[in-house]
Amino acid sequence: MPDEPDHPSLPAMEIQESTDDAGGRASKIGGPLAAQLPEVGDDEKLTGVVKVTEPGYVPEGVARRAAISPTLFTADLSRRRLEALERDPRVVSVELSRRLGPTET
Amino acid sequence: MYLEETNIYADMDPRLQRVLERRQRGLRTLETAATSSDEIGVIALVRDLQAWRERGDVREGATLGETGAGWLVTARVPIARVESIRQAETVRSLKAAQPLRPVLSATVPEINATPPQLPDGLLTVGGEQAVVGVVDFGADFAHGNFRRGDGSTRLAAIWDQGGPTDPGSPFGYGRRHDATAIDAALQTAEPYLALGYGPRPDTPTSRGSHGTHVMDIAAGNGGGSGVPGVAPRAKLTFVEVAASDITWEGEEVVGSEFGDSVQLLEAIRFLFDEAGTQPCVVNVSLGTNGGPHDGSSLVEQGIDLMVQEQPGRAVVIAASNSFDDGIHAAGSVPASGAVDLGWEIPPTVAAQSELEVWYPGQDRFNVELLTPDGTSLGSVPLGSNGRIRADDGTTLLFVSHRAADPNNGDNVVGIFLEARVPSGTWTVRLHGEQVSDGAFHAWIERNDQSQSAFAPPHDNTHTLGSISCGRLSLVVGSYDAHKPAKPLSWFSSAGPTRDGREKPEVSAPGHDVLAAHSRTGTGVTRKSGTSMAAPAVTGMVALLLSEAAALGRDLDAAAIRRLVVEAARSDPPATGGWHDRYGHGRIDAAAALTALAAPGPVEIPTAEDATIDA
Repeated sequence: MPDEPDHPSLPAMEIQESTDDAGGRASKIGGPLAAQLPEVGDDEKLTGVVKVTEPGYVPEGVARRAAISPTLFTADLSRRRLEALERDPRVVSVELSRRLGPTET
Repeated sequence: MYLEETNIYADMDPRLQRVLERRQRGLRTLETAATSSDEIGVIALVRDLQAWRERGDVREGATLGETGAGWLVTARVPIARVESIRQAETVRSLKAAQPLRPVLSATVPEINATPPQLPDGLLTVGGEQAVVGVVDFGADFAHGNFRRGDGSTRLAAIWDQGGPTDPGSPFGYGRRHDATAIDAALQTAEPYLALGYGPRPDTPTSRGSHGTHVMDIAAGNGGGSGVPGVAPRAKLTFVEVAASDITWEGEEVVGSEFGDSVQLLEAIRFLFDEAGTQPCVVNVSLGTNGGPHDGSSLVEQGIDLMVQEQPGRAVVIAASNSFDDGIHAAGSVPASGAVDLGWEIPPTVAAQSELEVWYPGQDRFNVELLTPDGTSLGSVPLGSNGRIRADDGTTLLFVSHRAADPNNGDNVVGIFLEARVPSGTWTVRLHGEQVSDGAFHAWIERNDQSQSAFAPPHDNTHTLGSISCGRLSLVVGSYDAHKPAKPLSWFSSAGPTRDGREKPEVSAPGHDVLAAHSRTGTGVTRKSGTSMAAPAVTGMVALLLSEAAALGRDLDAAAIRRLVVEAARSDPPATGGWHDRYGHGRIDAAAALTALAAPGPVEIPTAEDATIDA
């Protein structure tokens, strides 16, 4: 008698297709966690690095943590704010946190 | 003063003679992990192995092998029996075990950084006019290597990012401990308790904190262990990175020794702010596998921006330890064709597995995912997401296919498999829909609990860490300085960057390095990794920055980088170019300091030394 599989067979993926002719709108939100944003609730607190076009500019609803340069800063923001940042012409990009560990074997 | 004759056998191994002489004077040897205080470890050459083993005064160790003259063995023997054992019929030779060379003796002399090796006429000693900042986990401020002769601390500040927040917290979180608070804690019987900060105690699987070890290599003064690091008089600052607060990444990350890139940038900002106008080099022995690997990430841009704010700044980063992990793949997708990537998920996988594929923005791939039994789960076009949910609604598998990353314009695929998906070799099939270039690189993210890998054969190039591809950082590979051939450490990651730049820049000893052991006061412990190589370069840069300050010379980040690179030695690596793991060669502190002192412009930029726009 064959062993029972440890895992059930998987169904096909649900695909959320792009809606524009360009084959996918370019997002300003980057970093590995950006790919998982659909999994994140609207009120989830996020941290990231924000790059802007205008020195000193901090978008509304974004809490600056540390100024790295006049146009680059670390920030707290909520998932809900990302839509507004996507539309903000003075925001170049937002990179959500990437985890880092010691490089010891 | 006079010489006294003893009755100890003059033809005995000098170390054994010394032990017996001490015993005659009533002195006891120290107990070690393997030897009690009235024993000594020995290496013996014996004629008859059985006769040796049967001796009642021999605590057998290892049998190392048979030579033409007998068997080579190790053992612990009572000091009182040494003379008797030595004269036994079966013993041809008996020597005391040599103590392990304390500590950094395989790093500092190897990089030509001991005082006698350094050039004559230096204006500063031990990096005294520079600040060494360390971003890491576990600074043992009580270890003698970080205290002055009077017992006071050498640390100007520790920012414990995970400490309790108070009105003075840098950037609104954690606690900054200044030298006064550290010194007050050092006056107590329980300094870690008094300060509310300290390295974790050892566990059965972890001896000594990473940050203490790293800081000692760069700038320990030997006050505890007896052997100094590379820049023993440098000023010290330390940032204890908070455990990652990316709560939605899963419990395997939260609470572990993983910080994140935002905390890292803030740590470097803090260290440079603390240093003010003093020259400062920051060591970062942290990393993971993913990322664009072209220096375009905002964390790498941020590091580049901070080091070029003023002269006298550098950031040194470990290359990473992923060379042998099978975490990189590359290739070219043909128009209207496809390329398969095998992705091996181990049966014991205990956490999410994650893979990234980066390819040029002018191309368009379609990403198909197949299970280990060959079933296609569908394809995800550019700009779309794919997902499979479990019966309870949670996600089992997620595929993101993003167009035009905002920082480099490239497209990126992210695939996330939860631990509940079937193990075995999955297939990521890249279909070329619109191809003008077709080149791609893929990385599997680090997972210390159950690392997945690409199916062999592996392409171990481009295995630098996620933050190790910046334009102005100094990235360091590791080799084994204990062996005459100075071989590469098996783990030391390879360059180049995805955009073809020559990183790592240099290499340094990072294999079996003995350096400060936290919570011991004076002890050392052994660690390996590019984590241990980077601080050797950090210490060397501190020597350069200190000397440059005394000479009144401003060294910008590009000039520092060039001094380190141009002084690097070959053989190994082979002469005449850059090696993808040794970099431009093995560092040489004496040569770099000599070059600094020589007349001539070291500040002339080259095309490689790009300026980063703020």
